[in-house]
Amino acid sequence: MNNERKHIGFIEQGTVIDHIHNESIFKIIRILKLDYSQALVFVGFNLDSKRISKKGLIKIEEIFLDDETLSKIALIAPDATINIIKDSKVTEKKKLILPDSFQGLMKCTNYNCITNKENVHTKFLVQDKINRIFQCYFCETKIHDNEIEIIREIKEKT
Amino acid sequence: MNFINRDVISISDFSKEEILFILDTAEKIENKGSFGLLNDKILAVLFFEPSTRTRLSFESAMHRLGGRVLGFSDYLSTSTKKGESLHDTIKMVENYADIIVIRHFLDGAARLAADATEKPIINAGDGSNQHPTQTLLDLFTIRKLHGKIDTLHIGFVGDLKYGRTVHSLAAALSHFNVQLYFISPETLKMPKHLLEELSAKNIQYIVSDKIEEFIPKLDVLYATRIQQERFADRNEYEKVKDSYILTKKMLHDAKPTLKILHPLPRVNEISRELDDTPYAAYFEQAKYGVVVRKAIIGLLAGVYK
Ligand SMILES: [Zn+2]
Repeated sequence: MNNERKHIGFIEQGTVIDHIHNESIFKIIRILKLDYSQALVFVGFNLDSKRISKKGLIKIEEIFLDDETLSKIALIAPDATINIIKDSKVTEKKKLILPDSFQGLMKCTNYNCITNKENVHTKFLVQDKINRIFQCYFCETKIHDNEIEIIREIKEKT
Repeated sequence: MNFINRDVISISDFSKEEILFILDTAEKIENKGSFGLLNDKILAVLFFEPSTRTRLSFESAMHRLGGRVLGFSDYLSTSTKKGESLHDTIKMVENYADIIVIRHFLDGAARLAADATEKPIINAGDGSNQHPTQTLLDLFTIRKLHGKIDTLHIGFVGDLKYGRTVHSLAAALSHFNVQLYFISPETLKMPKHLLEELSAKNIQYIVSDKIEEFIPKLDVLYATRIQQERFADRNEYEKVKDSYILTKKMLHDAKPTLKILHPLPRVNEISRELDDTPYAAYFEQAKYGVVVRKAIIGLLAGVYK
């Protein structure tokens, strides 16, 4: 029996985010606000995996993610897979696709950018989905995959 | 082509056809009277960072169109100091003006302003990001002086790392069939990602720290200032600061048709002895700034079509 079956609980209805690299697990917990959630959540690190050497996994009971949330996960954990669970069975597997643009999720790396000085949402255009290059909508700075810094608190829209 | 109420934020928002249309419009109106064309229009000129040249050029353009100008040129005197957001400042000003010109010390400020209002916004420089009317007037000047842009050999010298005008102009020139030369000290080289973008558009370019050997090839030489604050090491600055000063001697082998441009103000990067030579085009360039801005304002207001 692999260590996932042995140690991680089962959910009847909900979502499994699988094949997450360890360093992305807490980021996903943050953007899904699972630390404030009332839902039943299982989180696993360093589970056995055929696809990646050690994988992380998050199971959330009774919560189904909308497309916007899925595109956020695509941003920070492109290798993750999404399984929808109904009646304890995987009924659907969803692909993660980067959106063409997204708002308020990560910081602009340019210190002199207006989004770092005034209370405005950041916004990025996805310039290259394969090489994962993003461009700040405001200051036009290009941000590469390894520079992504997620904003924890998503500002309320004014 | 419809420019009515469009924002002018970044040169990359404009296609080659649109850029040429703006240049053609400027050419068409250059020697035509325009007084009274915009006599019921107000241009707001909001300068959160001082730039006398750019501000006077916009104001002159609007006055020549017969319109009125209001605004401020001193960040300290505005309510932003008291904590008003740029968004709110724009929301206020949109009630007072038909077109808004903004210059700001923060990158991305112009795009934010454009999102805050339906009124057209013209970016007159946002931090180190964009200054599209400068780029358009540079292109206009090059075309005016040489009658074309295609096939020209265009050199850039000075601070190519931080030089916003250089970055935008090089990007705009990538719409054309040109050969580019980037001449700078090692520490102020053209950023790699911009060179990659030129390569992706099949633009031929040469990067070097020597200027003399390229002078005979050039049709245009675009000079920019090397600023001491860009150097961490003072010795490094002292070493390079005078190496690119353009003098008559340096231009000995230049083509007689070579034109030197500079976004101004210059300090010492172009020797004054060149001012009276046919190479000097930087004051003419400043003059063309007004007609290009007239064209842009007129296109946004819909009086030029
Ligand atoms: Zn930015």
